[in-house]
Amino acid sequence: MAVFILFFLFIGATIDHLYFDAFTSAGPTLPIATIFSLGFATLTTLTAYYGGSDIILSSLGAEKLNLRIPEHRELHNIVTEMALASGSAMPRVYVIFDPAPNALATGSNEKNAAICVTTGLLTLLDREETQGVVAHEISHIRNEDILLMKNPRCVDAFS
Amino acid sequence: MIFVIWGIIFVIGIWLISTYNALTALRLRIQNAWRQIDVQLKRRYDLIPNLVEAVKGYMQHEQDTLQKVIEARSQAMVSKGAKEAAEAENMLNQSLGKIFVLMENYPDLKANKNVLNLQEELTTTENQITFARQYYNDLVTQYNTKQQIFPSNMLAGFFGFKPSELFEAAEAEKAVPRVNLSLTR
Repeated sequence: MAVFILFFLFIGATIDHLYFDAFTSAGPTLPIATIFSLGFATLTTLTAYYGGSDIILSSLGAEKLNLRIPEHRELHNIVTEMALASGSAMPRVYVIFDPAPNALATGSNEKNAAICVTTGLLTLLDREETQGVVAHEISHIRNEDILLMKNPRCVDAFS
Repeated sequence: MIFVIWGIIFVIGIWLISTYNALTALRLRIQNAWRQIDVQLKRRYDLIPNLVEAVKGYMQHEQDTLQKVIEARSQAMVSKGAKEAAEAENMLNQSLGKIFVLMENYPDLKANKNVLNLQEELTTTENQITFARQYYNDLVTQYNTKQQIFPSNMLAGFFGFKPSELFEAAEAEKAVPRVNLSLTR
């Protein structure tokens, strides 16, 4: 995250230097672009940390499971099994209505993590294959990859 | 010089506390994991009568098999000791497996939502038992390793930490199942 903020600081300073001549006596008194980009980066990072997974999930059109539908019930059971096997807390589970088979994990820590699977994946793969995919996503949560990937994804969602 | 000695004592103290706490935490997590297995087993016993009840009407000609499942279930519930429990579990697994195979012969059954639901619940419960056992064994291995490697073995010996027992598959379950592919009819 520090790298992310520093990167935006660098972009801001470059714009100031090239377009506004901010660091010479002729330019404006304040490096506007630098301050703006620093503010933007901080804001994004904070939102990403505290509410990032919700932004990502809603931008993808993810929906909560309906346990009356057999496929959803099965997915819920599979996630329970894999959470038990890895000894981690049960993540929230979502589906996306998309024929392309895909899956993702998001959240800032194990407690508020979420796993999302497309309906295409559910129809294409059988129970054991889905189990493999869910195990992979849980390993992302355990490995704390989800925190790292959230920042850029939130920028994506904003733009 | 005196500061160096105090520093060493301080570091050793920190190490003692953290190792002791880590061992205790592991022991409690192992206990919890064991309870988790019991919860799943209980759930399985509760589901089986429901399944039998649901398929009874369809499978008029398999009353013997259904009866066997019910008997195996009550056997497994009252069995005491690891060996007896393993044998009863094995009986139950075999008779349940037989029902699932026989169910293939009844297209009406496969269209029944209630039965499909119960079947999925039973599958996930059995998977959860397996994974809970695997997680339990992972924890026990971690605990026992910590007790035997240097230097934490000195501390474990001093405070009397005992190695936990791994869950092992019963001999009967290890035997490769005999698959009969000949077409009878």
